[in-house]
Amino acid sequence: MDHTDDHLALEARALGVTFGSKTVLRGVDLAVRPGEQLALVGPSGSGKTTLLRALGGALHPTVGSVAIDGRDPASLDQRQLRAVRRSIGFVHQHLGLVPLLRVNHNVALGRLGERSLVGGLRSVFAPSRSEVHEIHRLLERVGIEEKLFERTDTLSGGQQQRVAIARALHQRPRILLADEPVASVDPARARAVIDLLTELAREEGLTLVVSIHSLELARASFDRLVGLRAGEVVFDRPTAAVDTRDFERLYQLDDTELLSDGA
Amino acid sequence: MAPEPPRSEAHGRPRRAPLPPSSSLVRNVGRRLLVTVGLALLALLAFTQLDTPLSGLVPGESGWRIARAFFAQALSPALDYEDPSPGYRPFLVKVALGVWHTILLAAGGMTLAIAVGSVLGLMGASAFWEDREGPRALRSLRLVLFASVRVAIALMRSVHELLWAVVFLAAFGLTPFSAALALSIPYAGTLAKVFSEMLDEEPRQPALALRQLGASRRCELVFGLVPGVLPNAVAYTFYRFECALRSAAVMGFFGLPTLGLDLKLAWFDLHYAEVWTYLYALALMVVVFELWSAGLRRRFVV
Repeated sequence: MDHTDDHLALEARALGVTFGSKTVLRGVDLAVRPGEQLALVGPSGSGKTTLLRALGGALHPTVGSVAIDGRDPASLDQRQLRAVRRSIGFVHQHLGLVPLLRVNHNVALGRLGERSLVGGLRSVFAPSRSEVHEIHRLLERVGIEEKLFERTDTLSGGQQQRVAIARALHQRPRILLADEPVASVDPARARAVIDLLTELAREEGLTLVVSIHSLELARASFDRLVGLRAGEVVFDRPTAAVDTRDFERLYQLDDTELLSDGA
Repeated sequence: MAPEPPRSEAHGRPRRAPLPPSSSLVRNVGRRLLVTVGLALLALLAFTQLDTPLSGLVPGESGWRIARAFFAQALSPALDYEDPSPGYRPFLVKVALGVWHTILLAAGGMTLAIAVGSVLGLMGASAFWEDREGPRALRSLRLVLFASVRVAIALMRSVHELLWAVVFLAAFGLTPFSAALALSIPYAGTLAKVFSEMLDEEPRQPALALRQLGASRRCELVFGLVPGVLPNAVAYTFYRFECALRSAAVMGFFGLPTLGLDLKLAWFDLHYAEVWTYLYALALMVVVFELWSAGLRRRFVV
């Protein structure tokens, strides 16, 4: 379809975010087409998490604007904002799973956005057979189907990571945002988690934006890299066109940055 | 629209407070010393005002006699009336009925307390009111409501259930319902306070993750925050139930047919063996309840 070419899944225009006196993002422009996969790279404190949160409608920018499927979340009322958020699966760095619930319950909560309180309670205490099957299939897909009825906090960090991914998929989103999904996964498994995300996104036709601090991983798994440093976009190119000079610029430390570290 | 506070960033690294200058450290020590001396003086004052010389703690001749008679029966609690008359129900049935009525009163009071305490506990948590949008007037109204809930909780707790019982017995007469109501008010307040504090100490990340996927505020709290506090809340509720059992027994002193009434009457009749039976029944009831609730708690928490 031709008209989808100029339709963007995610867009940031001259985006700036300030917390108190601290500027976390400055003049960020970003356009993501539907179905596209890209990685945000940059040192910690460069603003990756904040950019993802802004793109997901979790925080409103101080200046500039965001568009999710063409709609600016800052202009929406609570009900519309909830609808927009339902279309975005977010895998948080801290996962945000409910530790004392079983794995199947945590995954079922992925659809809480479309449920009332009663519907949510029913999905936990008396889930429909078809939904349990769906959840089981999802867990199979992320490779931990044997954990279906385990309590979530008994799982390892990597397994919980997969639960969070399954929850995001159960939500049936159009866009998947993942914030440092491999930060708490050992390096050997990191590649597997990233591959899982990109594969799933491809299968489901999802737009995927992942923040990673490991350049190696980002380079190996994504066709487009966006480099962030001190809240600004340093480069935004196809991976093949990103050269070592770009990376040096991204990670070089100078005196001013050492002084203001922790932004 | 105002930007949200940088929550995720705030979790990043705890900022260490700068060391205060030495002069303020010295001032702190001085203030602490002042408070300590003040408290000590207050304790001294309390002792002198209470007007109880230590000699008053030594019982007189008759006191010794009663104590001896009472403790002499400790190992031989009554299994039948000490002073039986025809037409009385069997003694052990009477004890069982006393236990049963004590449990009923405690259960009635706790049912009310749990219902009211859970609602007030949720509404007394700051998580319930935070991050809500709306016009300024609505937000001010919410602040007022929040403050009123907190004040209501404090007021309910500030009056002991026995005082409520006195008030209600005067107002409604001697009914089990008024006693259960009296019991439920301070208990609901205590449960509400503890529940709301538990909720506010819970990590917010699960709830925020559910908000991010489009859940309503109600669902966010019920599924993101409540499950984390549930085991501790249940354990604490069981502990309060145990307290309610003791309180319900004591309410018998006002004439309700719980163990307290039996105990009081037996005492006045100088039937000390019967008194011991009631005391052991009370202790047994609490111990059995504790064993049972410990088992339930283990199932919940593991």
